[in-house]
Amino acid sequence: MIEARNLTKRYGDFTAIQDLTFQVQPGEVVGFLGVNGAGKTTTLRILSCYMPASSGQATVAGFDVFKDSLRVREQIGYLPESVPLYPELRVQEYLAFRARLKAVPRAKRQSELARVMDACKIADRARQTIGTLSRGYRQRVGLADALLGPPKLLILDEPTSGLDPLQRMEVRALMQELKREHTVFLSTHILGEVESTCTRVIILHRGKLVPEAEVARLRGACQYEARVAGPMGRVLEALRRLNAVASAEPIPPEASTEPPEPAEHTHIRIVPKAGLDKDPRDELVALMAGKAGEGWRLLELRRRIPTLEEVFAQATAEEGGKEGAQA
Amino acid sequence: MRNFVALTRRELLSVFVSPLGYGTAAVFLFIFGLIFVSQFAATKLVEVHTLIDPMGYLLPLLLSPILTMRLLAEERRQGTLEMLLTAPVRNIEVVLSKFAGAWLFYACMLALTLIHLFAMRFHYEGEVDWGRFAVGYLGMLLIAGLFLSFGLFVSSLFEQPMLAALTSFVASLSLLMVNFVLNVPAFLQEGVGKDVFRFTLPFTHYRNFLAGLVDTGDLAYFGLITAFFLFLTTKVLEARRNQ
Repeated sequence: MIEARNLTKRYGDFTAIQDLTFQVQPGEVVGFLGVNGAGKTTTLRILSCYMPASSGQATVAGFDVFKDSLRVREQIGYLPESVPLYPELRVQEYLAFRARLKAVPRAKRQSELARVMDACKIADRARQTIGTLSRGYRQRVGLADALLGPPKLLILDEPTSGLDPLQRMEVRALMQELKREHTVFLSTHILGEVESTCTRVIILHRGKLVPEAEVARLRGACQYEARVAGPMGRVLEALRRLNAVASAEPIPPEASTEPPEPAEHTHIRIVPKAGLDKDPRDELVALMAGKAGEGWRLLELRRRIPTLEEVFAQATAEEGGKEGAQA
Repeated sequence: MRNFVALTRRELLSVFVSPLGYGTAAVFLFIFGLIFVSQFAATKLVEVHTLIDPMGYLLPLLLSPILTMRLLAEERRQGTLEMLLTAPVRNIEVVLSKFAGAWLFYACMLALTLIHLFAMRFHYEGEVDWGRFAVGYLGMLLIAGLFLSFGLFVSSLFEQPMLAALTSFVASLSLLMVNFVLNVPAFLQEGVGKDVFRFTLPFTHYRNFLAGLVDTGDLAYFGLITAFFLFLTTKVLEARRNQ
């Protein structure tokens, strides 16, 4: 649905995005993740034909965004971040205007308007002037506009920014429904949103893509947490000597969200050695069983998969570190 | 074409619900009425040039800057231009519809002034040369087209509507000053140079319409200059896209 190759955009000396290459398949819901200023909006604006890239190529639904811009614009529903609308028009008037622009046939216009207003739950505000709507409602009108057509591809720039938690949940629920009929490409810096709605994540950091392999590695990099009763120093030392263990560090009680335990129950984070297929849990259980005579007991052992937040923090921190070193 | 109609409808909708639109129309009709009544009260006959001459100043200095300042500058400021340019519409359709919207609104204001002529029709006993009025109104429409397209072009350059209005006001004022100076007999010798200068000014051509003269040269002049500014405006939109 989207194919971007070596997209680069420079504003004067500033390079907003550099060599972006990625694909979005039909039916996917892809989250485009990055901190503010990472270049998300720039990328979306290029894909929606608002501005051309400095170099590189992009196609949407098989049409080139530079050469066949009109054809591309017929395929997409785009919601810019600031949700610009005409404040003097009524909701119904505005959507009818947009439906005409998007070539919804006259016979279908009323039903199409009803459909999008229903989907975005704004039917009760149809006669209200847009300027008097709350932020949440404006957002929904923008979304309703993007759904008109209906388009093959939805490009949403931070669809939940500026909404309160309840509205955010509603938009997310709406997104779940949209998934069924549309390909969605949405940018956000709210990670929970991505985890709950997207089938895939693309992370952008300072104008460059974090390679998907890297994201996969970070996501796959699981850790273990153990709670052990026994002399802390000796337990840690023994754990570190295990073959499959890269590091073992105590987790200070204040860093844990769990209810406090007695101080002699040491809470330990274990990072396995990369590239080994040995499960460190086997070794750990065997070790603890061997030391049972000395009063070592394994109370708890579990695997932890990093949250997207941790992956994101690591991906952006590593990149940032490298750039910092160069500077 | 379908896009053009939809966009023009939106333009008219916006101006007809805005206080600015009504305010402008009210001021315009008030001034027009004042000019009419001042002569009508005395003679019951109002001559074409009494009515239409002042429009040569009112339109470029006041009406056009106000009617055009928001057209593109406001869209840019509130970000709706992004919605517009990512919809499947051509730049030229956007520009033409904005021009058409402003022009039609102006035409509506002009249509309302016809009520004065009706009054004259019933109160004046002599013969009125309606043909000259028709030509005068045509002239008012054409000079409006020129200044509105110029105002639209200026509006495409700015993000602040007030700056756009100010710029087109100053530009029109300078043009009027040049026109004024050219008509001072002592300034520049009569000759080809002065004629060329005169020819470039819209007011020269406008005056022919006041005299009841429809010259294809004048029609071509207004048509070409108007088209030129509309063309420039689409180029500005394209260039802004490329920034």
